[in-house]
Amino acid sequence: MSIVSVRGLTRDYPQGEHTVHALRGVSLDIEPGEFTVLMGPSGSGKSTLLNLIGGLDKPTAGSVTIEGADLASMTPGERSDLRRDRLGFIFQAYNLIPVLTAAENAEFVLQLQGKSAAERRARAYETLAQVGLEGMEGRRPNELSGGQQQRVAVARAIAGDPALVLADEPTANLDSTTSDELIATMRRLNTEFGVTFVFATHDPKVMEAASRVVRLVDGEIAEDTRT
Amino acid sequence: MLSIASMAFRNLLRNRRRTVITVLGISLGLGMCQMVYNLNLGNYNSMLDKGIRGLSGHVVVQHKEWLKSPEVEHVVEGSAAIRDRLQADNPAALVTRRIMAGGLVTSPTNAVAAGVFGVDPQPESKLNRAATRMVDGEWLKPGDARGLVLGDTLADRLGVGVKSRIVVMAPDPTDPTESISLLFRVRGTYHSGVEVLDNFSVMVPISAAQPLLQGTDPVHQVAVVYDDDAPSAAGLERAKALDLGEAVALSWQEALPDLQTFIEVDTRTNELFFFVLGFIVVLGVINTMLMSVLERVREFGVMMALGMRPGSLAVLVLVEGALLGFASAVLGTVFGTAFTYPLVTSGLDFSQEMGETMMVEGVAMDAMMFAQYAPDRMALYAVVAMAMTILASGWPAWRVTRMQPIEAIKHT
Repeated sequence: MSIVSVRGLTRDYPQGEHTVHALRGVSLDIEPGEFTVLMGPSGSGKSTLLNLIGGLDKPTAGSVTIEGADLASMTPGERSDLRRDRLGFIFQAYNLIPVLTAAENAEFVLQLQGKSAAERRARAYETLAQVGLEGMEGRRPNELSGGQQQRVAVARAIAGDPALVLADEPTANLDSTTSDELIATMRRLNTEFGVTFVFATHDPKVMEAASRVVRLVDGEIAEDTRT
Repeated sequence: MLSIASMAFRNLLRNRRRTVITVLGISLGLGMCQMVYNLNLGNYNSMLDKGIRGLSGHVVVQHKEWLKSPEVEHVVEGSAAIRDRLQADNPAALVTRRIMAGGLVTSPTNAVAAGVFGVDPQPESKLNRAATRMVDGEWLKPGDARGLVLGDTLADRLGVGVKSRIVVMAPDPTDPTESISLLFRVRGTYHSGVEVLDNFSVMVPISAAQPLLQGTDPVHQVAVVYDDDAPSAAGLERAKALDLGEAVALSWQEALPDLQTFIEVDTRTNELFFFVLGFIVVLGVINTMLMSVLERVREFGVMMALGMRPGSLAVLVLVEGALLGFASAVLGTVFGTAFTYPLVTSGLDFSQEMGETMMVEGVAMDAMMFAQYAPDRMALYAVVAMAMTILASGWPAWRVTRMQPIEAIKHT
């Protein structure tokens, strides 16, 4: 079964007297273990599609199912629970919680899942080690570089053992070297631990690492290539 | 342990200056309210103490018409028997009788119309304002049927001193067309600070004043004064059970209705002031919490994206408000205690504004006012301040529950 199944997804935004058609009837399936990149120019609908898959936004028409569950039939609370238990998010601007340490940020989702303190701490340290941040567990975000913060965000995204990680321009704010390291880390998580990733990105390096590239143009899928 | 409480605490520390200013604002407001209440409490208790000890008693027996019409003929007869019975029923209390008449006080050089107060010398030595403020000679003694004390100003006007003779002339109660004259010797002078006492009053033993009244063993009041208010209710019930004829037994609240009303009205006025102050503080807290929430819209969006329910985010905001309120309640109570302390130990001097004393509903208030700690009320105000702070966080918390994740994440 596909992790994500998108059918006829349309998203329109009213803008003054006009309507912006961000997505125009997109259909797509994401399979377990894929390292999928949504690419396309600005305004092509990459981030909109990512947000709709994550249940952060509601479609104008069409459907999104995650592991067979239709997001449209869920209450806001149920969508929250789905994001908590089955999805991970990585944002362009890291978006760590500034008052929490690296380990506490990684623990955050586990706390929401109701895991015990010992289990949370062990898992947080484990995921931080997986992204190469051993010894930095007690640092607050303002004590970490941009690349380190994004690694913490990756650790947070995978700590809850999600079925799917959605990453919106995760390398956009990073320098070339740091970006390469982060892509390698996520690819390793994908190959070694089977974490499924879907990226929205312009970054050609991410595309090079992808197992599948979906090109969006004007809110429609122009090309869907598996490597 | 990463709990909502610890997260809320850390959030409060993010903008320390704002948090400190908010806590200081609430605490100073709370501390001021507690101080004002404590000062008023001290003031009210002082007024009540003076009123109860000097004007009525915790329980007072007087003619049923006296309250409406304090005329000289409204007497309680058989006063010694009533006094003895009340004393037997209340062995630890002071039981005293009082007469309030008037007459012409005459010395060899002058004559002044004055109040003539008949008192039981023994109990009144502990109750009467004049007895504790003798400036020359001594207070009345039991059995001294011709003794008299008077205010120092009146003594000057009459040109008399200790051992001088004074004649009190008054209408004959049995025949108003005639007068009676009573001869006294001055035993002492006092300075009470109350103009009407110092300028226009003499005090004599009860037996010496009784000829000014009609009836058998007449007085105007028989008062029972306890160390505190606790036994009053039971004492009143026992007094009401006595056969008092034309007299009635009243509580101090019934005997001093104006004083009771004054205190109640003043208390309500102060509470209105506290409410207005609290309302202003609440607006400040709402502003602080709203600012705090609006600064973190993006963060809340991320938390929602990670699976935190809006209700949990609202709880986070409410806990932040609760912590703010708790800190303010504790600090405010420290402020309130500290602000009150000098008013308890040294008092507040109003002599510039009101002279030595000021009459309030018949009670002479001293210019020096002392506060009194009211721990129960201070705790209540602290709890109310905390509750108001949590309530003030309610609207910002509700705003959080209305946020849409995608809009919150895109918020700049």
